[in-house]
Amino acid sequence: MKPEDVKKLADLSRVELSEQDLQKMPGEIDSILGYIQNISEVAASVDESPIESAGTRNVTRPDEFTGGFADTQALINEAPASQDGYVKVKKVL
Amino acid sequence: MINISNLNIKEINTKLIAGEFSAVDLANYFLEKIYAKNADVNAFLEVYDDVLEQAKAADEKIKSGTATLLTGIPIALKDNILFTGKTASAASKVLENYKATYDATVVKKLRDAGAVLIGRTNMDEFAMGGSTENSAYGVTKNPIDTSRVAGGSSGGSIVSVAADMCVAALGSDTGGSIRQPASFCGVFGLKPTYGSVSRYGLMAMASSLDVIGPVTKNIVDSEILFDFIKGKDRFDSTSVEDDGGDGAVKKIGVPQKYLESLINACETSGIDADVLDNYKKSVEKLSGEGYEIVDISDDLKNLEHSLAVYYVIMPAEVSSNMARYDGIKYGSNIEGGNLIEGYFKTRGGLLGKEVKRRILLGTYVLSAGYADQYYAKAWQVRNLIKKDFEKAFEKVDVIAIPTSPTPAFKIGEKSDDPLQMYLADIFTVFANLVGVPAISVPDGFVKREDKDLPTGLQLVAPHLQEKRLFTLGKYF
Repeated sequence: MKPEDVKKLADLSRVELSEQDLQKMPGEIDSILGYIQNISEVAASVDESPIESAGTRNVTRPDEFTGGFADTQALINEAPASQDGYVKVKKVL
Repeated sequence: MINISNLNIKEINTKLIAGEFSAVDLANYFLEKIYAKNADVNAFLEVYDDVLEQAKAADEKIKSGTATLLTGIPIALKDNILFTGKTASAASKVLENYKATYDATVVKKLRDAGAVLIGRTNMDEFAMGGSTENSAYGVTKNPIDTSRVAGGSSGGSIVSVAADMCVAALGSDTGGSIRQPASFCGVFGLKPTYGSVSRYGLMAMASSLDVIGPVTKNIVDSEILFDFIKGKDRFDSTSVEDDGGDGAVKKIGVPQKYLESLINACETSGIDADVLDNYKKSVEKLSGEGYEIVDISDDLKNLEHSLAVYYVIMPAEVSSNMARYDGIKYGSNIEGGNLIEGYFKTRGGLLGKEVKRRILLGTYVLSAGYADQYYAKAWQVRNLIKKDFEKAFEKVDVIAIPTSPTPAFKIGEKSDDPLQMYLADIFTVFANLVGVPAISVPDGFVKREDKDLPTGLQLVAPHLQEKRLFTLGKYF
């Protein structure tokens, strides 16, 4: 992995990286990728689809209103910027 | 006031009810210890300002005859668990000033029971790490040797108990974050069955792996606390009822051959010989108590792949869960010239290095062209590991394995090498991948530089069979 590959991942993840991180991270990520490489070989013997065979299933509930959040102002108060009971953001378009 | 440190919750409860001391006395007893010790170990990020009010309310509850076993018992919370009105930062700069707007289900249960929530404890940022060195608020030190790490990510919760600054604590465990530090500091740390404890109000790290569990000084307290916090919750659709099973144990499985093979493995992926010795002694002790010991190495063929599978699935889930920290809805932000620049600056400037590394790694293994190669394959191998354990549990009731291949390492020793840090979790991640309950119990000491450092024995049971762990935990 090269610094430009890491830069691309950082752009996709919307994370600004320092020049130092851009230089250091490729080696670190490569060593982790090297370690996880062998799972492809182990998985080669498996012909089941990955997630379904785990016996996991979705748990859903009826789509019924069970009462809203009691204190919406408390939620708004946690936003870095708010105005008139709304979360404030920079203009989108 | 008498020495409370060696009493379990039942004994403390008896004395509270008998009026030998009050909940306020008890709170003051531990507050003094926190004030005396916290500067040395950095276990608590904050002691809540209403501890004595909570204790007074507990005393009222005791007087009125409505006390539970937990009424008045001081309990610490890992900093990723929400308590209304209190800061919950996950030891991150991005949540430095965030105040919880609701109670986590576990917090509600503890408050309803009358427990005194004493403070929030240090951790690796967003629970990502194995040494609590990734906290934005300084490392938590091992109380036995302060030049060493406490382990992590629940290092603060573990040390709050190990250094006797409270009776018990809650941690969270995604790959070993309760068990590994428990073994490093000589306390009891339980990772319950996946789903047995509601995660409503726990900050999500890797949602197919995360679970909340108790950190305690003895096995009696592990069981008491687990019984209070478990149960199905309508706010967490992955939660299930868990009666813990009947606790019956006859046969104990040991991956003896697998462990022996690690002794000769390279220095970096092996196990310390004296740690393995402690493990063997613990197994002999259980054998001496009449349990049949069975080598199950051949059944657990894929166990050795757990860590690799974990380091695909975990970062994948982390990269999705961390998307919510955008500097808009809550927490802190760094202003940008426009909306998207603000995202980049906030996430780049306020998230720590390990968090960013895992976000990038997760983005990589989920990206087009690589998702099949990494993420899908990891799930396939995860299923193989699951099946291995199902097979092994047809033969044995509990599996015993060391918690960690080494005792606590030095602060700074592994912080520049993420892969080395990850290898500290080599014996714990499988329980999260499979979803089974596992507990680390203190099983002895090994000498390093003239200090006796604790080691842990990890006991693992099938899904929803925590009582088997409590049955065997009583021998330690």
